[in-house]
Amino acid sequence: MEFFFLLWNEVIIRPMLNTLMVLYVLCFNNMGLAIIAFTILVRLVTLPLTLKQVRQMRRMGELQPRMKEIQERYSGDRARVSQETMKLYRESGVSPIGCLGPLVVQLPILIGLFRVLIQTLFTKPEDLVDLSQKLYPWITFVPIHSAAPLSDTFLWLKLGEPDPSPIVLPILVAATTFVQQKMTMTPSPDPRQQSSQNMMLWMIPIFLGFFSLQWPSGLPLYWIVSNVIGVGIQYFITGWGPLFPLIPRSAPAASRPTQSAVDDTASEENENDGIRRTNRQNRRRGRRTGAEGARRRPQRGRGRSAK
Amino acid sequence: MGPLTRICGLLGLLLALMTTACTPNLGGENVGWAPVSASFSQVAGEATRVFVVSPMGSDLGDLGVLQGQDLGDDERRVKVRALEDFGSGSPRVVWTYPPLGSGIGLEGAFGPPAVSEELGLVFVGGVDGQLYALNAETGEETQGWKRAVRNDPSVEPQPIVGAPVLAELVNSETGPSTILLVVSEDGNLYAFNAATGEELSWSPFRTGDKIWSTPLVQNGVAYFGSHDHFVYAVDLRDGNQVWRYETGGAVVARPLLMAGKLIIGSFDRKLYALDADDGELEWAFESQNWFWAESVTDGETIFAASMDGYVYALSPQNPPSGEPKEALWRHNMLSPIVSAPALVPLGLVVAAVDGKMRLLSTSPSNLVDGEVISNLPTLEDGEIKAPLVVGAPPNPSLGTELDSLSVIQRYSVFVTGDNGIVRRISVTEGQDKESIWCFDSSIHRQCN
Repeated sequence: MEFFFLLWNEVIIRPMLNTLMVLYVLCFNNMGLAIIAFTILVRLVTLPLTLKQVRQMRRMGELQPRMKEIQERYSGDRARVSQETMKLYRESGVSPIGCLGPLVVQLPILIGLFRVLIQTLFTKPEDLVDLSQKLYPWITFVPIHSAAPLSDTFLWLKLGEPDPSPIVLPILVAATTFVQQKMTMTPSPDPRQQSSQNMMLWMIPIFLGFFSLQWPSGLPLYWIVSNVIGVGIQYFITGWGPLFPLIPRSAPAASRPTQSAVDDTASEENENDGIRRTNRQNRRRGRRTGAEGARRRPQRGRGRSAK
Repeated sequence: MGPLTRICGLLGLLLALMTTACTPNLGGENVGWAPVSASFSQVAGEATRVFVVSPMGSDLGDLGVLQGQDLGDDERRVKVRALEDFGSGSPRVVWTYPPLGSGIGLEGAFGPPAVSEELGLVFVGGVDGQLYALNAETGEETQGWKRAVRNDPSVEPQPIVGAPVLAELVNSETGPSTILLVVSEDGNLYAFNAATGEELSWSPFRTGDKIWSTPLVQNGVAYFGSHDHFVYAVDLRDGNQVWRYETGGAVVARPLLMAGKLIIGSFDRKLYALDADDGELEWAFESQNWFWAESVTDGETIFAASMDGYVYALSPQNPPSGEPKEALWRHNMLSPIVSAPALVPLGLVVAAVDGKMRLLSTSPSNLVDGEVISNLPTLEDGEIKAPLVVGAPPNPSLGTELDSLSVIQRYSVFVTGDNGIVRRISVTEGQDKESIWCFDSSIHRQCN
């Protein structure tokens, strides 16, 4: 257990804390700006994973009609449905847990950030004693040692305490979480799955909004900025998606190259990964880059036809 | 499968965040460091009265101290306790404030209580921003003393972290009087008449940020630091600033005066020696981490403890022009040092946060790592952050002459852990360096 704590401390907490401290000094001793800069940094570092997740989910979406077919064909035989579904995933190069990657990465970052915010922003003497032991002594190019205790004020917030308003941040947390989730939602052919998905679409933002009532406001700030960046990334890749199915993308011309670049990256990655594709898969890949492929992207296609 | 996996992942995320949010020590209670003070007025025969502000033990009620009463949450906080210590055997609890079973407790305290033997009062500055003036004999609150240091009920009191300090002030009009200085996180230095509680006309003196640094008073001038990076010298007769000096970081340490030099550490990792008269920089010494603890001196050498775990021995002389200040020797305690070291005739007692204590030689040494005379009993299960207290009043001629104080008072130190364990440790020459007694103030019981 001690080894785990040491690992957690040295691999997650200390690097994050020192990065945040450096950003704090570079952002004119403003913790709010430092958190925003930190969020952008985290999203940049996890961008490859985010892109991979988006691609995986889009492929899953493309497979939905065939999954529905399988469910109809083998209705009543759950084992067979499961077997065929897994086979389909395998043939299509889709990992059913692939979309968990960014979440797995985000989880320690979030928990770590929670800890880091508390250690840097709570300015009780005990907290500072702990903080002093987590600063790297070799960081001398930026005076992080002199920066403590940190100033925790940002706009109307004290970042180490819950939002005094007290609803602005929780509402923003809930709203941005909802928007991001809605944009990344993959329609399911299974009505039960669809209904549970719809339930979670509402429940998770409500839960997060509720919990953020109690969180030190630096954490909701991170979450909101992270969601806004996530929404931006999602928009450039898939458009508004299921969020506004009838609204076309405002800059399709600009986004097209981005889209193809993403696809190209995906192809390269898959090839590099050495995934063996069947002829059928390759045929599908070929179609996806052509007109038919564009039509098969349900959200973009719908948006364009409406236009 | 995909959406379900995603949902499971998000639920896991929520669960983890909730778990983290509920971790008890995060942003938890601010109970302080169980600071201790000792009064040597020999109130009852040869006894020393020890005042400790420590947390309540959760099982105090079960141990029969309160005849099995169930303690409420508010009771389970921090109490001021007066212990009567005869130098051997376990000390006796004389009184507790607020009284046991009263259902209330203090929020916490960081600075040691200030004891006025002349007035018979004990002053405690609380994390709740209140100042408690207690009768040293009975533990009762003194009538006429306001609790809130700031004379504005509409403003929420800010925590008092630095210790209250008593000082003698000679005023040409009113004659000598004892004043009490209190620093607050509201950035002010407050001054009161210690006998009446009346605030001095010039009080408060304002700085630019929180003050944690306990003031040092010499010749009517108070020296202290502030989170605004400045070291201040304030004339207590009129509240005017004599000088101020800007360091590179927050200043939370208590200063030390030595041969006209003010020695004070800062969070910029430097220990400064300033001219006490005008605040001019004499020299600065750099370590690897913050200076939090007050430095001490034996008159020839300055002993400064840093959060990098080292105790540095420094000469007070200025280094040759253009050369950095170097330490005579340094000793690594392998754990940060927050607690002010204590000088006894045998040497320097140093306590690290992890509970380790050592007696180091103060004699000039050729050893770069200093000379360890003895390892002292460690304080297990608790962290040492409150300043050590020498078992006798500080005396510049320490060790050179004996007065009416018993040997055991001269050659012992009081140490407290943040869990409420109080030890009196013998550092007598030729004897084992061991606990004279150990008392768990949180449960009012002797400990090992």
